[in-house]
Amino acid sequence: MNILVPEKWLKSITKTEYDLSKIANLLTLRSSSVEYILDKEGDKVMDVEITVNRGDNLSILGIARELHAILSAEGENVTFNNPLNEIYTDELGTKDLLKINVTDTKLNPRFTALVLKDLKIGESPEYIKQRLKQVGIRPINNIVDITNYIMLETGQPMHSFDFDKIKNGIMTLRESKKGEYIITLDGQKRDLPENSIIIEDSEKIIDLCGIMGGLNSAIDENTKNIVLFTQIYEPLHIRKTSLALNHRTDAALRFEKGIDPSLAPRALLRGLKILKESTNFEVASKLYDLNSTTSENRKVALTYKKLELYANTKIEPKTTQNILAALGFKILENLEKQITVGVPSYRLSDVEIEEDLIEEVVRIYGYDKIGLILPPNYYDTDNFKPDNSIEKLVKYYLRDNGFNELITYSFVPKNQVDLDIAIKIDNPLGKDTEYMRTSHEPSLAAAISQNKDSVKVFELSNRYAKGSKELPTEELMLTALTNCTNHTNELKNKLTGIFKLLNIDDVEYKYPTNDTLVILINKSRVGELRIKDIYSYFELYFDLLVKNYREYPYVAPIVSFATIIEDLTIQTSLNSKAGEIIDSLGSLDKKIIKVEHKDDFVKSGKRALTLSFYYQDNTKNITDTEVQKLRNNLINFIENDLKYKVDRPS
Amino acid sequence: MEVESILQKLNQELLQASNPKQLEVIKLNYLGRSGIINDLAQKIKEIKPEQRSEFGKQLNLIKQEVTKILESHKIKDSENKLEIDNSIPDKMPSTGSLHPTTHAIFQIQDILSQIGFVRKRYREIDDDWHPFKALNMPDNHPARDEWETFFCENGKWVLTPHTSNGQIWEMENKKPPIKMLNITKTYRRQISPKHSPMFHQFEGLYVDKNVSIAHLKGTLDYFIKGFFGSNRETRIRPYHFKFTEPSFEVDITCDVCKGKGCKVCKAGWLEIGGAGMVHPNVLKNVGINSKVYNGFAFGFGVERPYMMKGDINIPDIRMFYTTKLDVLKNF
Repeated sequence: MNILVPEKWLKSITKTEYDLSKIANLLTLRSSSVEYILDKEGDKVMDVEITVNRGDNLSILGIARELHAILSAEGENVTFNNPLNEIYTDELGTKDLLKINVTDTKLNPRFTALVLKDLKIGESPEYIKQRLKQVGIRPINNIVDITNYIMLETGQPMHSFDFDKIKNGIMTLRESKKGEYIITLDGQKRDLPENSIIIEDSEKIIDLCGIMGGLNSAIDENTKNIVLFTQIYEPLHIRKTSLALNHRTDAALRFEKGIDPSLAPRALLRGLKILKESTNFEVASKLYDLNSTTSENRKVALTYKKLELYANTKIEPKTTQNILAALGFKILENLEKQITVGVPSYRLSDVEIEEDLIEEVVRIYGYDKIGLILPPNYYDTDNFKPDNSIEKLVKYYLRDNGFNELITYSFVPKNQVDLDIAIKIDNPLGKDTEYMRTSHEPSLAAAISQNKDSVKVFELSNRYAKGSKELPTEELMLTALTNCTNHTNELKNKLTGIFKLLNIDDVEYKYPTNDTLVILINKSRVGELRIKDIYSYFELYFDLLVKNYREYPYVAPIVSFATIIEDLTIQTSLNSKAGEIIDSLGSLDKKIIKVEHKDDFVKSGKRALTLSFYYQDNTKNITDTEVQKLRNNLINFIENDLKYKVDRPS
Repeated sequence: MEVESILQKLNQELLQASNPKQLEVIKLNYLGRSGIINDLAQKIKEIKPEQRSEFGKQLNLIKQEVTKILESHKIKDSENKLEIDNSIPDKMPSTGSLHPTTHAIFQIQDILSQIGFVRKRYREIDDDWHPFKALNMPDNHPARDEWETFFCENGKWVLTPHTSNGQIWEMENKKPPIKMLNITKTYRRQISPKHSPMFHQFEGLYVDKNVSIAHLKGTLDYFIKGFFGSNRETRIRPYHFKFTEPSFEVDITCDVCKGKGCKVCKAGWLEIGGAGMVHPNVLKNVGINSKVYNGFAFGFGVERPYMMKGDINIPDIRMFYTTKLDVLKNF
């Protein structure tokens, strides 16, 4: 959450001549990041990003306190005027005008209120209006303005009711029930989620606590008497209601981050003091302060040794103490090796342990003053795993062979998944991204219609499935798809290339159906090649590639005897399978060392399949007679066993 | 023997030959297995034995002469001979492309492995423990808001919104010292030119005895200089994450204005990612004694730093995750 900090307002608390751009830079480096400096309503205004742990910095006071600590550590002479010391000190009333009933003090640890009578609704003083405008808030009237001003200055949200609109002065604070609603100040009817914190009088709900007041109890131009109140609410309740209503008001955002439990009465009296500048009033009631906050006296110790370890430099004990003191920590015990400090009430929500104090000291000292060193190295056998180099080998290979890598969304529409195993997203961005994908095929096939030319694409990504285990399965798949001419052969060729690259030898393809080849390595399945009408694709389990990867190739003994190569053309049918024929012929004789597919010629419903045969004897040069014998065996086998005709050499 | 007439005939034929194919035919006619020279040699049987030695000599002479003439003969056909032309524009070899994210990941893993952070891939779909609870984010904590999380199967699982779940997986399975680099897909409910609902992050983790902020600063600086160039500076500034204490945001100097301040950056600095010293509660959650060990962690996006490189012209992160190759094929 960001807040706007006008220069003059800030410097009215932390008095310094320091240049604002330098202040912005120091705040960024040592505290909260200043994102921009804007010119607004006659002043320079910083836009500051406040992290969720620093609710105390959601106020001009908080930023001023940080600035004071930073400039002091820089050796600047600065004074700090805490506005909470400038409060209403006149005597308060004694009457009991409100019947307050807090049903559960856990919901509302502190309820602080005053009834003011006989005041005049009018305009705020000029500087109040100007400061509100500088931070983007429209001045409305002196009462509403005060509540906004106090919240911005101190971080304590404040609310006002028209006292005369609260029936019988009854204020009952409770959790809302099913079916209740409120019309808030902005005129919106809001159906209340169960367990929202609300206040009701004897007949109606008058406040959606911590988020926005009710219209039925709001200040208007005729208001004479008001209830001014400052509260602390249980953060989770505020957060749940605010999220459920999608109504994230400035007050709600502050309440859910936690408010300094000591702030409520002081902020209220601070408000009174400023209100006095625009109207007279009578403090008609006593000060209601129903306080069940445990003002914890939290002590945290910091050892200098650990501080030095983190900072990698020695920060003097004196410097350390000054920094902590300037941030509001109380030095409780000061020993040679460590100090113990009391955590100020406004830091109770984020300072709990020694590391928190280390952060406080080192950031104000300056992270920029810490040097650079590299951590030592050590042995970790995990580092020798080949996964990353295999990923590179395979990706570069496919790229060098004309394939384009894609990374497509993991979430896909319902019609693209296997619904038995697909994981459904509860809060998808749309219907077309509702399920985690169970296959990459649809995503990659989309590339065909998205591009003019034929495509060769691949992706290495997970696919997801519900399983029997506590967590779903994530399988890293290498998927490649193409619609180029001879798409099936192209992909098969790339598979061969990948296996060669990874020194994987024992590869087989099984043909259970006409549109699927199952790919086996050492007889176990590593993926499939699937054939569609206009494209083909393969999917390989990346883990199994890694498992079967050999770091170096199998080097066959070099045979220096001659190899004779000859071609035979076989007349087969159109549905014949060259792979099966090659497999059976290749295993006929060990002197047939290789059979390759050379050519296909289709004519008059016949397939003329030309194969190249490599003959070699690994003990001597093969003779013509032996070649003749091998050839005859082949022809016999083809004609008698496979029942195909061989074209005789003429 | 008609030596002279043979050589004369040869020279005549050669004069008429205008291309290498014809030359080859002539060669065969004279020196081939059934060429003129071999034919002559067959005739030796008809020669009287006492004259055979002389015939042999003559034959050898002819063979040598013919070979010499043929070897020295060049076809004089400058008219049809193309000179070497180096000016023909080359055709682009038919290579494909790697995804820009892959280029970035390869570079990241190469730089960081040099200092012992070797890439792993931890889960994308996770339980509540690893990406949230174990990282010191209890149920309903406002810090959970920041992650714009996708939930699955009625809240049973989440799509991890950051790579920090990898810290927990790593520390649950290993004893210190630990150095880890986790690079995976991450998911957040956001979509804009700067935000894709699916993107990648990388996470570094170092747990050992006596780890200081200086170790983190050194590691970050090493990475930034390796990735962006040795002229780039790095700074850390206070930030808040539940799983680190202290926590930092990491900035690098802007390349456009060289650190002076411009429209692209904030006062000369560009925000690049988060980092911090591992929170003692996180160590406790994975059973590591935080009195003995401490550590640092950092988590950056992958795409954004890549888009911040020099003059790579990718205006919209969503261009990374299309199937249109117009942009992607360039990488």
